[in-house]
Amino acid sequence: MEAAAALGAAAAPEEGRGEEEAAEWAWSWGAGTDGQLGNGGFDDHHLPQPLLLPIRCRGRVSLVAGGGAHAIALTSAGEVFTWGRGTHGQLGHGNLDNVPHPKFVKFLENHIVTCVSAGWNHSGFATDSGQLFMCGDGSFGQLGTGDNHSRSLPFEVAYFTSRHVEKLALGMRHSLVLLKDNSVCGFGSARRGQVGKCTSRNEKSHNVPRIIDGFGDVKIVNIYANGDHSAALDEYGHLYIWGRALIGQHDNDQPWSVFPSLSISQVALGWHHALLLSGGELFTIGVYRHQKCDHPVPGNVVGQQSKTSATSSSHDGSSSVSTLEKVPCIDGEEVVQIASGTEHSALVTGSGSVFTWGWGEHGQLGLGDTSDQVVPQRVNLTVSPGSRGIYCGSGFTIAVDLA
Amino acid sequence: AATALTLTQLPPFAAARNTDASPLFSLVCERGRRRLGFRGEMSAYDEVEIEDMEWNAELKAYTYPCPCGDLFQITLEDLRLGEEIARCPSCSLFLTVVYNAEDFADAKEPAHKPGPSPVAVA
Repeated sequence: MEAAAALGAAAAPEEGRGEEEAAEWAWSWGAGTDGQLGNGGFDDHHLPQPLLLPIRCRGRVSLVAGGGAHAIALTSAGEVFTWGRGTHGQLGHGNLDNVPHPKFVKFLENHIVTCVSAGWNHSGFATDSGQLFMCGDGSFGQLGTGDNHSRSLPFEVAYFTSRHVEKLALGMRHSLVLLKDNSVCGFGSARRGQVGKCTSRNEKSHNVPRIIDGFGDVKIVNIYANGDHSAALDEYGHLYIWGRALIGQHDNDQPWSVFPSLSISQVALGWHHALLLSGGELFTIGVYRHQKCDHPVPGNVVGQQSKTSATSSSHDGSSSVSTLEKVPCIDGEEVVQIASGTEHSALVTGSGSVFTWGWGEHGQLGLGDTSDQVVPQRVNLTVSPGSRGIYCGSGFTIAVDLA
Repeated sequence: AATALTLTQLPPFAAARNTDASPLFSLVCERGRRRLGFRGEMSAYDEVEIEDMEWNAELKAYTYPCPCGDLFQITLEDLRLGEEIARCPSCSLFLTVVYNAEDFADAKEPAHKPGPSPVAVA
């Protein structure tokens, strides 16, 4: 079984590192040429590698966000570490260097960061006082600073100084922010409707945050972004999607309520697919690698009729037949966390087992090769005594023992 | 018009790894290969309009994010010649680029966009 994982865990203490440090608790695998694996190197790896987070972070990592080729780790103490591609300043260290190991973001040391997110080449950090800091590529206005400049140090977004930011989610070229007053704001590329309605037809992006309408009176509890897709979950577990089409063929510039019969607890967006967790059951929508499925296969069909948002006029979604595919669990194991890269997916079960599937060309499935997989495959990791978190960047995957 | 939802069919979890050579598993893999568009059955990953691509002065190419983390690239010379494929130097994927050939018949390099400021104004 997995207990004797081939990760060299037993050999490491002899190499002069402290015993504690040698014990593995954080891993990464997949595309690594920009240092995004945080293992000290610049190569792809097809099997889990130790992620070089400082030992003092052990058991204190609360979230890892994966971007195009960089990643951000947040600790329960509100500290932030970044690594990987830094060409646009997305690591927030004040330069444009690639960094192949997690590096403490000194600029934020006097802030308690509570939420982080990584886009293609930009990064965002929300603090306990509701401030929002952004850095990296700003060419589409995705930093929300009112210009299209990039920044290599976290920069406070003025729009939010008088507001309280709770959560943020960054896509390829856009950013979403959830405020304490329940409004959802968007900024950055507007080409596919991902930041809401445009005021004019020629508007391709906006660099100042703007409120996205169309949620009604419900409380929004989470927001999601990847590629040109945007999504939100309300307090009842109802899903709203907008931006590039995930269902049907039409982009949507306002939130569209889909699968109202489901009560969804987690969402993971890819560039052409999404994972939904509802009542411990896993569903997928969309496709991998843009290959349209010619013949929808009847099976565990759940959702039937999608519902457009009350205000929707441009979208003809009311006639769309929506079908979800259900993924049964292995050996009755519960899926506790899901994650999605651009074209691959990952999950963690209640017993701490990690599974991956989808595109595998860079080893992002962690199975020792570059094959694609259509069914979830177990990654050979040591058994976790506590809970384990799973996170994806574009072409890489990260697993961290949370306690 | 009514549109049927595209869906990803995911067979039940396989307890065994892909070393399992059962006929059923082979069938599943075969189906997957076709849908996933494996290398060898080349089809474009996506279709992107030239205006959604960014000019990269260093690479002297129009670029667009590739799902592997690198960039799809097509040079001005390619465009002048009517080439429609943007390739990623790191993987097997490629894009179809949508553009008006006349616009690039004698196009010059786009103006350099301002790069990231090395130090942010605090």
